Amino acid sequence: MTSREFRECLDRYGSDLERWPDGQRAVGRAFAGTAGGRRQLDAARAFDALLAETLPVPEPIGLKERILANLSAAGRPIDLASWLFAPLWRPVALAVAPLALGFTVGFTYPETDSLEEAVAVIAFTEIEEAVGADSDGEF
Amino acid sequence: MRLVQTGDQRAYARLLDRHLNSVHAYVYRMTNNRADAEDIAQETFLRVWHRARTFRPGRVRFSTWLHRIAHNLCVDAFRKRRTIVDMELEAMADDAPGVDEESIAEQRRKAVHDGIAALPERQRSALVLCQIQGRSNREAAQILDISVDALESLIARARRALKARLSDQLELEGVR
Repeated sequence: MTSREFRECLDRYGSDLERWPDGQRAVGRAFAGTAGGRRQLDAARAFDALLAETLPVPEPIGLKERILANLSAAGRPIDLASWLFAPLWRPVALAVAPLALGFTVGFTYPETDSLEEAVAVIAFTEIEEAVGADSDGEF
Repeated sequence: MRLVQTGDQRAYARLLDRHLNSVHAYVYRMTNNRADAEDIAQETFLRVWHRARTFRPGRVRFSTWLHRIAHNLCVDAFRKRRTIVDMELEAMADDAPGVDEESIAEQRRKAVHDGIAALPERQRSALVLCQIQGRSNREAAQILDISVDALESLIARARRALKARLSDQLELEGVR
């Protein structure tokens, strides 16, 4: 590793050699043992220490409370796409619902022997009931 | 996060306890303005609430997802204003003692703060995430949605620019 490559690595990865990529760390350590390497490493450490000294961030007083207050006021809008596709049980429920409806309808109507009879039963059941109520069953 | 996805506000409050300071610190370093930082941090967490169901735990860490939202909101804010270059230390600086009374350490802190604030936006993001917040290069790259190599290049440029500025201002020996 040359002096220039070492400086480039210090700029890319910082002065903590532990954070360097595996492929660079060992050669970096070896170069840091030289006089030039030691000087560059010390300078990079001084710079990192300087960065760590930067002004603190002002505390966001009351921000959490304001966020929670806005949350209560806004509520959560219904995201249809997420509602339909996010959890697995929802699409499964959507697929099963028509099946369940079919079973319900099938078991509700009386059993019949033929298709024509079944169609007739479904088609005329309500009429028969309505007429039957008025004419004592003569149809 | 799973509880937040079901609409649990208590879980959301715990999420705020854990991550609000980190997001706010990042946004503050990016905007260098207290009011903007609070607005963007607030908007970030409101989006987390409203879009919680779009988060996929297996794909990315929650912290990465969260900071990416914050970063994108910062970028949007910069685009809208384009006056972010006009950095100021605002109230904090106003409350600080005069130059004569300042300690050398305080002068250094302000110089570093101003130097970071003056960096181009992408370099500043990379430097803050990795050098100030201590995130790994990989996670920072995910937040900024760039390759690790591009991120490391940004960090290197940011460090060089900052070193040049600080060595001039603070007459630091051996830093450059």
